Amino acid sequence: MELSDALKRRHMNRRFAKNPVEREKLDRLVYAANRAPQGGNMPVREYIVVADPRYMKLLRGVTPSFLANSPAAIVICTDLKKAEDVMGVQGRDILSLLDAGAAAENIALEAVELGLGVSFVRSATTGAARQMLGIPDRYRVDIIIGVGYVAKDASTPIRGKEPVVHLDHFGGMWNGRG
Amino acid sequence: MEECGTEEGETNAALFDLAVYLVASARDCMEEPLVYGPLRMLVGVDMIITAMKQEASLRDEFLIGKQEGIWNEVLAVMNDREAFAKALDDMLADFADELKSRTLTKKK
Repeated sequence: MELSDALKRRHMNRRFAKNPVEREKLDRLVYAANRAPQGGNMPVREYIVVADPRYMKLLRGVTPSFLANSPAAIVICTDLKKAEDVMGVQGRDILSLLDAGAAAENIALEAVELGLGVSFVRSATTGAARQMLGIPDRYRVDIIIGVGYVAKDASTPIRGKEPVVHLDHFGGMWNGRG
Repeated sequence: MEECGTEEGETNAALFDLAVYLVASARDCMEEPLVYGPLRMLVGVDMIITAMKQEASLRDEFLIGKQEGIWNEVLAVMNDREAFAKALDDMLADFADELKSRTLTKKK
């Protein structure tokens, strides 16, 4: 699949089929995530692949924003101690989050290629999510990504599709693709 | 003897899940957009109805009839504030009618 096709087809899903996601596909999603940038070129980002229905129930139970019924999830975490050692406070608090976002988008694009759907989840209850999955305190839970086969495409079109772009300076006229 | 259709353990588990969901939602709502408050409450109602369906003595046909509407008529328009408010008003009117009917037809 061409990258431009994947970009067009990528969107968030909430309704998934019950079929489990094959281990090889989950592995490819993790590979895609790990191809995203990591500040300092050091592995400060780690992944928890959740596929056991019991752990999915625990994770979903304490994450109200996790409305998707996906059978699996990938949790992207950052080792804050390592991130600070490698990139300083800015790297720990900002750069690693940007990198986690890039990793999440890589997963979303690879999911299109694999015939899967995703749902991004961010919650204020990450302390409880950490507790459910046994994540040590020094890790920050950056984003949870529900993964599965899409049951029904109930997504709505992205609002405000046309980007706001300024040419050369803020307010500069940008003529889009023309 | 266990009553037909009664799954006490399942109902208890569903209600416990609901309690966890509400506590987690209370925390989440502190940092989420205001409109997520109604969303969380409606999902809570959906969970209550699901729990009640599992036990014959708690089944409520009115609520069961409303369950799909929570998702297809109300939450489906939550990104449009005006439509969301209208859908909630309509659903509340149905609930109010039902409450009135149940209250006034109750034997003294």
